[in-house]
Amino acid sequence: MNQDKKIESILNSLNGVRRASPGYYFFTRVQERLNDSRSYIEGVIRFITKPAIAIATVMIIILINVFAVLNTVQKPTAQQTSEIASVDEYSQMNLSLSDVEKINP
Amino acid sequence: MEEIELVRLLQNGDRAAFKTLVTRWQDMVYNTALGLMQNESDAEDVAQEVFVKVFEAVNSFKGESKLSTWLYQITIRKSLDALRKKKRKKRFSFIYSLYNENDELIHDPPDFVHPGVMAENKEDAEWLFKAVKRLPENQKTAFILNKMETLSYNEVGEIMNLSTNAVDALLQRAKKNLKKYLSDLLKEQ
Repeated sequence: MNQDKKIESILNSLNGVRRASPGYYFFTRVQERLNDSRSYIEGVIRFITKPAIAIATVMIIILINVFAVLNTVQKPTAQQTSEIASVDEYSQMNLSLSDVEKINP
Repeated sequence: MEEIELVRLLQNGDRAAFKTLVTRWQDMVYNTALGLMQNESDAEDVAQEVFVKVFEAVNSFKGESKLSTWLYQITIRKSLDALRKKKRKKRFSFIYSLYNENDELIHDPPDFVHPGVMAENKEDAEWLFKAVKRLPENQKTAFILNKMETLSYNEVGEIMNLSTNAVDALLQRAKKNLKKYLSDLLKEQ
């Protein structure tokens, strides 16, 4: 019973609460943060657009493409391999009439 | 200055309008963040982030809701994100030292007392904030908006995109949970 009263008093403890305020010069700190976030974004853009970084990125992309193309051209796909194999098998099985006569005179 | 005019100026990157925005709503943003974060420096950090975000994203504000509603939504999102990040850090805190140079726990600050609570209620409010910490995110948000920002169910619903009935149900559940947590906390004492 006593505890119920205590809980009720705790639940009502925010009655009449006043709004808290941030410290002095809050706007100045927000402005600083805004400038920081802008200079960070500008820094990233400046880094990406550096000629050396841009050229290196383009070279890497070209190399990846060349590697991918060469890899595709050199290696036949599994389907192509099985097609070649079945053509070979067919040509071995496709005996001429003379061959048949030779087997069964 | 009218809200529409303020938004128009902000969308043009007007710094004076930005100062008006910060001055007008800094207490609202900070107080909401403080209720959710229960730490003054974290709340200040979130409040700064909120205004930076508003300045950067004001062009996406369509004016379908009040500016204060939009500010509340950003504050809640940022506060909950910061809390989750803090929780993750705490989970991995065993990897590095748990104590600072004064042998105080880094991740378990002393019990929070809201500076706006009346002097005679401070002790009880301390218990309440301990229990609020344990509430699920949506119940905690509704409770803080209703009790600390003294918003009506309708206003809380607008901010949380819920109907008035849903807010009512959410606050009932919050109160029920708080009673349970408080009972446990008082027994542990």
